[in-house]
Amino acid sequence: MKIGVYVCECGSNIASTVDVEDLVEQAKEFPYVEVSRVYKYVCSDPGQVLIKQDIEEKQLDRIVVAACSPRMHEPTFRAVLEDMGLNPYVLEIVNIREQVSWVHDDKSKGTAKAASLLKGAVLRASLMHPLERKKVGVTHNALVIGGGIAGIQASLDLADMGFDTTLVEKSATIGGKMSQLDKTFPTLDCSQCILSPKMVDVNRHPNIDLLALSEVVEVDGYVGNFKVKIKKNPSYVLADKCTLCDDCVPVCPVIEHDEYNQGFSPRRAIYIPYPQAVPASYLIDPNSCLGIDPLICSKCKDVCGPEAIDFDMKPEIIEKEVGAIIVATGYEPYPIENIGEYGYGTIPDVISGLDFERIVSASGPTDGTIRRPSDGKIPKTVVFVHCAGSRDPSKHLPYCSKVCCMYATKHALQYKHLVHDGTAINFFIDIRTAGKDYEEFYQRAAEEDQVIYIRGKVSEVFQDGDKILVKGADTLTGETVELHADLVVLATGLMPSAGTKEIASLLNLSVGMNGFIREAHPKLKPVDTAISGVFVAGTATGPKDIPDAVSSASGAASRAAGILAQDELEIEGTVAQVDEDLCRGCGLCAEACPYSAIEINAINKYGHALRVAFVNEALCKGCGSCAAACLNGAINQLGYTDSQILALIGALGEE
Amino acid sequence: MVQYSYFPGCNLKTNAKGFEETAIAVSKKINAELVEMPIWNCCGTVHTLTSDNIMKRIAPIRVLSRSKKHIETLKESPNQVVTLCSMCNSTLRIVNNEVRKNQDTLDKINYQLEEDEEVYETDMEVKHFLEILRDSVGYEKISEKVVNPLEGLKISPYYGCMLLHPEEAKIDDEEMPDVLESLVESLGAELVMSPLFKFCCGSYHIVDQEYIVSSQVEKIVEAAKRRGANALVVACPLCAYNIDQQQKAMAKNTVRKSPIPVFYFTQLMAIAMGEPVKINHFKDHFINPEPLLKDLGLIGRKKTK
Repeated sequence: MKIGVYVCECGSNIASTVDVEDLVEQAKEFPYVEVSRVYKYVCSDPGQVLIKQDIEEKQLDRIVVAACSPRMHEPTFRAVLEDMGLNPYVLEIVNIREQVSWVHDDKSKGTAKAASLLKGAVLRASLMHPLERKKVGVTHNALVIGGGIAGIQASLDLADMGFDTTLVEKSATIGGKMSQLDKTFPTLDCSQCILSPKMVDVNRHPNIDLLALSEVVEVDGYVGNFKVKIKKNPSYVLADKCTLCDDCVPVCPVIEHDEYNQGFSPRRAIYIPYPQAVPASYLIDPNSCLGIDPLICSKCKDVCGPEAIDFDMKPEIIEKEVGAIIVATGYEPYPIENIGEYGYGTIPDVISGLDFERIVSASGPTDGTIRRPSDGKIPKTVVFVHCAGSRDPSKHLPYCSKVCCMYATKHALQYKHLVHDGTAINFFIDIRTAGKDYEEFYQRAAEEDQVIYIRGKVSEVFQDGDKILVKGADTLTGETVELHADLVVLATGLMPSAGTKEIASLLNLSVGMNGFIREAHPKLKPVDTAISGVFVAGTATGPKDIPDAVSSASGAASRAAGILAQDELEIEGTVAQVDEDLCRGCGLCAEACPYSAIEINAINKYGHALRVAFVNEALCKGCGSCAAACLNGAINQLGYTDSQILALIGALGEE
Repeated sequence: MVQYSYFPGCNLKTNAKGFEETAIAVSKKINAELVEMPIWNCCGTVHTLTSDNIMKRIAPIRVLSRSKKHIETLKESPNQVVTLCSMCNSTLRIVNNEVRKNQDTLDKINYQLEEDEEVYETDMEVKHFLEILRDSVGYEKISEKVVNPLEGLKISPYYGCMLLHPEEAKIDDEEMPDVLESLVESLGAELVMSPLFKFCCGSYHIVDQEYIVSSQVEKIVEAAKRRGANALVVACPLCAYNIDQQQKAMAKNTVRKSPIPVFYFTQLMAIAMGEPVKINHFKDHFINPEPLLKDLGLIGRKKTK
């Protein structure tokens, strides 16, 4: 066995705290070390050439690199080994940058620590065996969870590339939050007008299977080969028979608040969410309908000409096999009733941003005239409160919700366009207009349309006669401000939707402190997740405006296509291996496995009736939990065997 | 009978006698008796905490350590010292939290307490009587004891500052509290919500800049009256004094001629539970509540069985 040791200076990153020359000299004394060298940047092309030459000339068969974290350059050096005909798994990387030079000041202690880490690595390398990468096939279908603008875009992109795509949406129609918006900043084009063509495309596309009123309930499998169970909830209306004649609605005796209009208008228990809804079909709200178990009323069924209503419809489970999953489960507005001082929920004329979108919308409850909820009067003074729930680390959301400055400015502008003699006042902490043409939009609102901006927070809001008394501070003049408004609009912050949280726990996706799904890398892998084959789009990873949500969706679609376009995928060789002679079938390993990769079979590989553990290598991530849990020492983690780990520990324990 | 170690503080022995006497009377009725500490001193007062001075923390810690000793003589008593005054409550709580976080401060204070043969071991909880009512007694039990429901009283709760601030000493949610609201309702009175429930009463400015207090009080009272209140309920002797006394001055000097009485929450409980009227010490009030209570038939009636 001949081991080559390569110590990297990483410019001065490592060399300033670790005496690399000394390290190289010490390494020469370690067992099996044939050659030990230092180089300024081992990851550079000349550095790689150096290793390649040594492998060829000195017939090295194990390589140890002491440099940065293996997260950075493990693939680089593995490729070097493969180029020279070596197995990529006989490489060991010692992290003497993040774990030594960057965290220590004392050069002699740093060098000593690096030396013992390096010795451990050399001893471990001497025990390494070549490992095999297995190959698995790929199902060329995709699943997109969530039918908002991000999910729609991702589905259309994948479908256009020719992949069969299943789009699962929890509610009765796709379109998401964007369908509730009236106009979009900074161009003030109508939200529904740019969204509905895409919704129609989804419905028409031959490669898209749209499942509305559906939820993903179970996901099994691994990259390229996911098995998904989807629960399709009953709509109680047969979509293929329903002719959208609307005869059923007037006869329905049940009146409910209309979710699409934020509760400002009524709907019946049988309804269509809104005229442009996709799939275009009526549905029955099972919570309020009097016809579903027990059958008290069947008025809609009686008048339905095409006999499209079926009270006996039951939920069904649909199973799909897909190669990649895109999570686009979106956001929900922060529950602003939690902000007691703003009185939302107790003062009728304090409304949320989404409420205002419906009130200003031509298809909304007031037909596009701005009226306040309490008495229907046209408000003459409107206060817009920015950061309602956002940027408040002690009580509410700690982060900036990114879109509120712009949408509150847009609301003020829309109000001024509709009520010319009205006054629009924005209370803001900072105006954040980072986006193309956003600053110009804000300037236009403040200068051309005389929207008033006051820098400061609103401290309290309360009903005073038929007006609302707004108290706040103007932090530029240092004065307190008290004014009477007719309507107060809270620019509500964004938080992860309930669906985002559910899907994250279903798929084992890691989430950040605020509950948004964590990207594989916040800058360089913004649409990947820690689980290979699962991608994320739109506001599931954090607040985004429409252009950002759409571009992240297209990004996620193209990343998913990178997997779907392949015929087979290589899986890592570092998997768990069961010694069936030692295994007693107790099942502790199966319980310890976070990826459900271990099953206890009642029969061993020779066909004997013995309970033993069986590892699904495609599912195994090589985490080692099972090997640690096994009482008999029957599981070995390939690449990290017990003897290798003990060799490492032995070296670290030496003085 | 659960007994609680009760720390009165200065006001309860002077201008808030009605608060104390009614509290003790009702506490016996609801099986949560307040027993006054045999020896006690000033709580230290809130404003002394603005200086970073350990000397100012000795008084509250001595109260806590004496209360611990007092508990040993009581029956079924939890490690809790109960206050009525919201300022005492705030001071004791803040200092208790401080010494729990900082052993060094506690050691220094204990060194000072040695000559009194006192030592404090951070094992006491400071509780406002309202918390005892809410968490240990429960509103249901209180309404069971009501014999004289406060029908006709339209009461607006006024918290002032110290019950809800600062964060580490608050007894309820600072924006949406409901401890006084629930109590008022459990006594059979009508609840009137006013948005100025914690608008500052003017506090210590009563001694030097009275005009600040009068303008604050005017806003607080008018906001409650406009919403239909005919009385206020408070838990703080300084709030009570400011609102009560300033209303009388206003009635004399301004057009605001119809003041409304200010009750301590325990006075309302005493009336509702049929305790004798004289323990309320209504004569200490600037706005005498008795005419209103008589009008509503809540006092002065012969008991019918």
